[in-house]
Amino acid sequence: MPDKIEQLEQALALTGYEFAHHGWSRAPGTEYGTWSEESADDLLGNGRHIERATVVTIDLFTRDASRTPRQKVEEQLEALGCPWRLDSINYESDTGLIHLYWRVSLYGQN
Amino acid sequence: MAKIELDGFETYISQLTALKADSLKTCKAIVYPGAAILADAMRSEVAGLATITDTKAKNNYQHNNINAHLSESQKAGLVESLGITPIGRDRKGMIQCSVGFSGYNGVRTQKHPEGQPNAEVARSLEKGTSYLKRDAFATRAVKAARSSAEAAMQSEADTQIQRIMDANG
Repeated sequence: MPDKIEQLEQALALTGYEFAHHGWSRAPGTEYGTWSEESADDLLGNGRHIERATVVTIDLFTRDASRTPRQKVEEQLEALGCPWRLDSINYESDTGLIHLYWRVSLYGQN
Repeated sequence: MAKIELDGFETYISQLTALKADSLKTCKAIVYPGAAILADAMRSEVAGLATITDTKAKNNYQHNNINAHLSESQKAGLVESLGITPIGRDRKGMIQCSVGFSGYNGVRTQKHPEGQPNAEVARSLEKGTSYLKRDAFATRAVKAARSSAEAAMQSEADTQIQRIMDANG
């Protein structure tokens, strides 16, 4: 069974958008998606890392102002079964892009 | 019939009354050391931000290339404008203040002929944009300062309460 990181990659591929790993920043105005590992979110106890988890950030820059992009990504995150939250939605007035930003905690990687 | 005598009860009531009377002033004094610690942590994070030269940033903009970091002038704007708002009571009744950025930097653009708003530059870096990689410097500052800020406010609360109790004892 693929590990959680691989499962996330597969889940993002199913959204229909292209997400590059650490693929931050394209030519201004370009629609794109990117995801990156950011930090650990391990469960600690008895001086041990009882369960390991990785916080992953997902960013989607799109011109689609409907709920579709959000629904497509969040359906896949729900199917993944890991806690996630939509951190922010921001309209970039200079590029016309909408920036959706999620944070996911991928646990169960022991 | 049993008789109960309470010593110092009136003193205790007067101490509580004094605490209540001065509560806003006391709470503001308690918030201040926490804000100062957070501001120091934020200043340290801003000082450590990587930059590119203004010329390179302008060149990137003109050639539709992305910027990996803030320009020197954008960073200078954050350094100069970092401050603490006056401590006050918000609409929910919480006594608090904000550590953040104000005013405009020296980068004049078509969209911002008077300079870019420093708060907007800070937000762009904190959350990332399609052309600027995210660097959550403010989140790091809060994480670094949280426990020591809480401890400083707890210590100040103990000091302030003791001072009022002693003055009315």
